[in-house]
Amino acid sequence: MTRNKVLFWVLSVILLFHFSMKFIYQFTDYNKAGKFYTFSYNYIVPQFHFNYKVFAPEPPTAREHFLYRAILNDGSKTKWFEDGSGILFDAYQNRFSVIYKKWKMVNYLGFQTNKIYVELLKNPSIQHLGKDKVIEIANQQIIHYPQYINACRYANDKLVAKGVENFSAVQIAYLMDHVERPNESENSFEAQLFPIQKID
Amino acid sequence: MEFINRFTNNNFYPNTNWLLRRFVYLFLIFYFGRLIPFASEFFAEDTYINKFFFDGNISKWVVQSFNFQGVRSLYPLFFIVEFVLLIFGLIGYNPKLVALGIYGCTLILQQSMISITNGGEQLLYNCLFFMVFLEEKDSKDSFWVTISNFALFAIRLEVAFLYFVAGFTKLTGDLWPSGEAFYFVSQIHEYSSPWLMEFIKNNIWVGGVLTYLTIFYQTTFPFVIWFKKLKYKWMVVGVVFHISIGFLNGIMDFGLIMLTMYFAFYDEKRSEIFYDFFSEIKSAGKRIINANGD
Repeated sequence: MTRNKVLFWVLSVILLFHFSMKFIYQFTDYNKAGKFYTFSYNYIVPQFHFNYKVFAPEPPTAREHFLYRAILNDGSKTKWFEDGSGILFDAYQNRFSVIYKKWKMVNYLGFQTNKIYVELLKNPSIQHLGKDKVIEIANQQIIHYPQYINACRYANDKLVAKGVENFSAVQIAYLMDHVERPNESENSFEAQLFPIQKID
Repeated sequence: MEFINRFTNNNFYPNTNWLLRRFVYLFLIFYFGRLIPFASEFFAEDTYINKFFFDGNISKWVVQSFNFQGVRSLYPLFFIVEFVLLIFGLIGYNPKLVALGIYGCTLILQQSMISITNGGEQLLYNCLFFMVFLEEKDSKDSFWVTISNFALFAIRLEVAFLYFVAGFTKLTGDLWPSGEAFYFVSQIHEYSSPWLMEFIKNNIWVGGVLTYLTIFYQTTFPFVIWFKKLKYKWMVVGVVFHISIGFLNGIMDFGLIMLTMYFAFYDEKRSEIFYDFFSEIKSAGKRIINANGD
């Protein structure tokens, strides 16, 4: 076999291997990961990481809002603040701008914190302790997660920028306003309050 | 065997390779250019983007270097390097080496905000990897010719793979097959606009039609695109599809990246028209610069 033919077959095998890894990485359920998935994960991540599902298998069905408020020194609370809607309004003005990405960054603070918090609440090993204890444990754990710390840092910075004074703590929340089904007017809300974070 | 001989001895697409690289580099100038005013929010040390550290292989130390303390403060340097490389890339200076630099720089910058990137941006850096190996000249070096032909084929496969995943995964859900998906997407602020929300709410059948058209386009693209007679028709539909999604649903990045990657499917004759056009501009520019005046 000539050098060219060897090269052709070697590259064919490499290409086949590459896309097989991608296929396994994309279509294997992370929670049921077997050794093939682990192998593909180690090959793909981080340099070829991707998720090509694009609104699949289901599109988003809720309007999501990241909220925050201050707890003042006298124990009272400010109103809830939400920056996402204003940022989105700016993004509507110019579809080519990067403002949409800024919205995504702000919204993800709540989205990612919520994702972890829900997982903590669903931890099967503590369910037998009862609902109140489960929430207490989840609250103790979430405050150590960088996602929660980052979201609280954002809340703190924005409250300072808004001129809120004399506050000793912040609280963040994530609100999901589920889209009403076609021809229905009732929609449901789901709100997740996260534990209060004291400010140094 | 005849095919293998041709595949390893003839650079099938030198002009297409040239064209694809130029359009991707132009897109990257636009992409990173518009990030500049907000760069500190996305890349600086005090960004609110959560660090997303994959527990992957050793390459994470390089690829995800922005997650290490102090590296983010160097983001202006990465931007400068990226733009310098893109300009070198556009003028065709040492194409493969520059393409490698662009791939590395883009990958590191995009990984630093991986949690807010979309499938299009991920497709882009995956394709940039293969673009390193593209040969822009009708070289006699069979080694690089073979690699280049494989690289372009891989880029095409990557684009087709995205549509395949996006299309067929939709069929496994409930809201896509039932025709309600576009309605739901249109009622969410971040993927819609006030008038679209109202319009789809009052004309639910339009949402149904758009849902099925989306599924049809995405599931057929990975197959149709390999047929010469049909691929340009599908690409024209794709232009309308992605531009509409960009304006209606606000996901402009994604659409523009997909349209840029369509150049990978151009045949040589079509790419040559572009190449000649840009060569004409280049030589006219040279004539102007070298003119001594009357």
